[in-house]
Amino acid sequence: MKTMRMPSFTRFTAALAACLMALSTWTVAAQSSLDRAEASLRAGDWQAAYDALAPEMDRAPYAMDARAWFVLGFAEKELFKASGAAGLDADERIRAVGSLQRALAVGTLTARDEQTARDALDFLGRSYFREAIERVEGFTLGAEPEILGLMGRYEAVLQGLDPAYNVTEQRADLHRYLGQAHARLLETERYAGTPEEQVLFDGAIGHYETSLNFAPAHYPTLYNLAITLYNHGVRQLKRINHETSMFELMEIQDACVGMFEKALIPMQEAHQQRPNRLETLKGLMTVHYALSQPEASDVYKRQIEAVLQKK
Amino acid sequence: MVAVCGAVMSQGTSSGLDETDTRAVTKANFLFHFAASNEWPASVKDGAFYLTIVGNDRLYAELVDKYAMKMIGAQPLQVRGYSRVEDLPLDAFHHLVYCDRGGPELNRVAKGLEDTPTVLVSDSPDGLEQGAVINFVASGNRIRYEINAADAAKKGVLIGNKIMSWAVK
Repeated sequence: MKTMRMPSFTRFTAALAACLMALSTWTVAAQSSLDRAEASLRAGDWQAAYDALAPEMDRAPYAMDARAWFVLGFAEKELFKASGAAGLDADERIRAVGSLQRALAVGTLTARDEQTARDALDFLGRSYFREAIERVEGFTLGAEPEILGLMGRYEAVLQGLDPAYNVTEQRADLHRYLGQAHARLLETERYAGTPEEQVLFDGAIGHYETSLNFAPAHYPTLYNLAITLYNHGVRQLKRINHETSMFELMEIQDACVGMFEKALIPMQEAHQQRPNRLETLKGLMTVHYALSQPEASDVYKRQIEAVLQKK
Repeated sequence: MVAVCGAVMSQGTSSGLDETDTRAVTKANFLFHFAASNEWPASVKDGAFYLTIVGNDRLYAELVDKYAMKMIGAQPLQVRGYSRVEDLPLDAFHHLVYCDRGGPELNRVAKGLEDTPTVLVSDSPDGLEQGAVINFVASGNRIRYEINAADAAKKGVLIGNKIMSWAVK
């Protein structure tokens, strides 16, 4: 996974400090809701800042006040961080994103406030991405909609900041990881013979193919796709036993060969990317063997031997 | 193939590839059907049913794992395995022998089993010519088989309809 660029904390902290210093010149007396909210921010009381301002935002004078939305959004962001909330339904984060985006949309922020708002949005957007990845790492069946939703929010926030922001690489990575996550569950055999097994298989293949749409000719994705197809064929074959009729044997063999033939295509494409890679040579040797093509299998066997001799 | 796989894995390359011998899995089931669906002479229908594998350790292991002691009619299936043709005891009776070797080695086995109601199975381009009764062949990337039913009949073994119907020749 591509390492995410860290938000510019130094710049962000300096801007916040300057902001708070500016606020410190204000007196608490004769305070408006915005004044009180800013004073609370300065004191680090995010909840009080939020309580002071949130009820006022739907009406004048704050509905079109960029600074008010900025202060509110900042308080909401801090509340989100303090809450430890996560997931698509984390209200504090949704509100913070909305308020900060509105502050930018009004378009009257100072340059410093605008940069701070952008940094805060960047942080919030990337927090969606981090969570999506965390959920892939601890993937369970049914987690996919949440993961894709988190990714969608990440993209929406980042592209809101910069319409030209390119998320292709992260999309490719995420789908590849989702493919692997599905494939890992398949390998556990926990879902062997259940309807979920087919769901997992379809999910793995679908995500690898989607990943390849974003990053064609990506070696690990091609290789993983080939392995998932091949292993799924072998999985069917291993269920053959003394109770398998001749007719069933033929049917299973047809299904397996279909998988092996499909596996051969991405395995060959992966091989073209890295012709001396042993795992791909072994994969081609094995798939051709499974397809009853001993001569083709031997070609790759000899290539493996040649590569090993050079090492 | 096994040795090469081992060498690749020892490089620390974790492929995730399922290393099951797919052809052995399929052949084992075919052999079980050959055992169960053909009709042997009454003289060899007592005691165990002997299925012998020559020259294919993974096929032998697959058969032992999934099929040993399963019933062939009233006979429990006993699986025997030999790495080399010369180790095959031709003085012992075998109902079904699978020989992984072709050419003269297969021919030697066929001659040794000539006078017994043994069905010899091979996986060799010239398997039937060398004396096998059933020979595995590749057809459309699948494992299929061809049969010399006349030779089987000479030995007193009647090839079952189910087996005949799936043969490619």
